[in-house]
Amino acid sequence: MKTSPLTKDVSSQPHYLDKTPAHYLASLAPEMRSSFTAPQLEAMTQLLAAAIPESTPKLLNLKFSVDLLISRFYVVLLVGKDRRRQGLRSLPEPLVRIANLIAAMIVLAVLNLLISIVIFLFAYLVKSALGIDFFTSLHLVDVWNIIRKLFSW
Amino acid sequence: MLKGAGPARTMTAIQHSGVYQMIAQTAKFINRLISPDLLGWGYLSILLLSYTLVGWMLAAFQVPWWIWLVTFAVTLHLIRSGPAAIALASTWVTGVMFVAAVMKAWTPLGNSRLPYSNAQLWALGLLGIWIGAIGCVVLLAGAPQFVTRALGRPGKHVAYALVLLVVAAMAGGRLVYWR
Repeated sequence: MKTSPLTKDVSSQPHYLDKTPAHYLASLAPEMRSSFTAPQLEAMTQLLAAAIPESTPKLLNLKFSVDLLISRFYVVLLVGKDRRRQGLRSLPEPLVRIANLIAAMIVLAVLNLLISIVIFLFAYLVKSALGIDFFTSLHLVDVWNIIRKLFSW
Repeated sequence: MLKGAGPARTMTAIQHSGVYQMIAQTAKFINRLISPDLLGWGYLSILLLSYTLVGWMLAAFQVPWWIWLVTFAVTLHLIRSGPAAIALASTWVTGVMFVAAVMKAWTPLGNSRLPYSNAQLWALGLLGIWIGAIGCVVLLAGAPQFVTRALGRPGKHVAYALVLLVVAAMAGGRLVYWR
């Protein structure tokens, strides 16, 4: 029976970004590892080092899950200096790209609305707490009533 | 040195920051100082008091029944999903606070004309309630994991206990107001 040259199960190892070339070489069967000459080992080390992806430092690394009862989503926001030599791989089909763009715009609009409400509410309460009154005879509830009358609610 | 010879994953800017390090050190210090049992029961006590206050507030503001119902649903969701439910729960809290601010809502306890007679105090009160409510959301979201680890009880038991605790606390808060 043919046996694997790897002594350990690589999948149970730490995150692939944390691994070094020595880590991969150590997972080879000892008899196979000892069969390599020093220049061969050096060449393999360099090859593995070039193959291991390096993550660039992030200025902002925000990752969180959002559970919306019906389904659970994850949100990732990464900001960092662009050091890529190649462009991003785009989605293959134009229809998928358009759908992706529309979905992204809807998500951004909803997020924008939520953040705007938070900022507006916070600013309104801070303004009121500081005793600033822009319209002496008009309250926010009056504005709401005017809108309601306009749309006959 | 060869490329990739060292650990490739780097710490984020936040993890490098002094504030993050300070919080991590403080958490370690507290962990050494207080026993996990005490931490767990302390956390539950703070949770009980917070949600009694939430129940009292909802009763004092005389919110409609459906706000009670959605608030119960949101708290159950927080216990079930933990931190992943913070976004939805915070949206609900902010929505309720937004309506309260637009409607110039205030509890009939004390001065019901407060939004008009002393808008500054009203706004400060509402701001405080908002921050407190978000604090309650975060506290409950972290409860299943924290209490399970601190008390060493099975997660399912802790979840049931949390549901009982939160429902009892909110009902208790309502009773205290109407008493």
